[in-house]
Amino acid sequence: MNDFDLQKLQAQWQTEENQIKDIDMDTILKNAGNFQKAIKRRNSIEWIASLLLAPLFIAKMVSAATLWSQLMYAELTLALILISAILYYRGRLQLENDASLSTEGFIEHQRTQIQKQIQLLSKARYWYVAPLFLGMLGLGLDRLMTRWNSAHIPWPNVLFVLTLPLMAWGIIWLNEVYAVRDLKARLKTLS
Amino acid sequence: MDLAEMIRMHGGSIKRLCRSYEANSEKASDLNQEIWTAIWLSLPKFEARCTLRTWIYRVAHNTAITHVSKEKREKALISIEDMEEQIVDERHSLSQALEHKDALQTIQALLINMKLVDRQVFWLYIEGHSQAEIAAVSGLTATHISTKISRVKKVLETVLKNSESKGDQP
Repeated sequence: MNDFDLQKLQAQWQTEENQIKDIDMDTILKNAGNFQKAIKRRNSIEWIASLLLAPLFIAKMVSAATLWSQLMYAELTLALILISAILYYRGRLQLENDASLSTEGFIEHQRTQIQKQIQLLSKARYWYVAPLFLGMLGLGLDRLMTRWNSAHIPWPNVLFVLTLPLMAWGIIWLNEVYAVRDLKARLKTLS
Repeated sequence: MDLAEMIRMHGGSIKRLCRSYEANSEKASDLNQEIWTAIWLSLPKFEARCTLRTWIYRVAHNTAITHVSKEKREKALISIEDMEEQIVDERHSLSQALEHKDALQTIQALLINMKLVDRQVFWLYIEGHSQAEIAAVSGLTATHISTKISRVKKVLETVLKNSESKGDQP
């Protein structure tokens, strides 16, 4: 291809009209504001959840009727702290558009972050499901044994205990299969 | 330079970039908004280590890459090397498909299916950026870019030949 052909092609390419709408400053400022509000809202929700849930479980632990329940509430409190810490330090994808990076560096950064996320989610059964599942199962069984008698079967408690493994399996599947599959597809696109 | 001035100077180019990363017009318009919002949000971090033009295209490409990586794709992206082989092989369906489109549409279609870094080099080249600018935006070495550009030229040559053979002007 000679330079003349190339210049002609480039000129034609650069003057081609496309159907993308023009953008104005108001839209950009509105989008930027919405983005910043969304980040603040997400951070607030995480903080409020952490501030409310841990004290709630501690209060429940103090007022629990049996030693077993107290132990289970203590286990759930520790599990919440552990999960919050893991999510805080490792859970959030750091995919901000760092303008100082060249595209090669940016892609490498994204790939590393996605790989870390895949590693974390692939082990969700150990750091997320198991700590919560044990505490919930312990509490469920405790209530079931307390309320059980031959004349009356506490069906809500029975159902709670029976649905726990199903819920645990669901959370494991969502994290270890569904989310990981999605992240692997992103990783492939970035390869 | 303020953002309105940047939009005036680079708006058209960024729109073409959006069409090279997103085939759907509405989604491409959304991507255009995403890119300018990212530029606006990142502007305070600009430290003049590179030219403003290079910086704008880095942010734009990086935002577009994030957009593409989130999309669910049925087919894998193709490297420029594979594309070059496929496009020159007349028995291959890609070559046949190209004959039914004019040169610009063909380039658009090729870009959409190209691997991200190759796509970036191809796009910057057809937009008329110098090799040094392409290196600054992409982070690839001069040798690497030189190899890729020679492949881009071969692909473009085939595209032109195809469009000329059916009577289109390049």
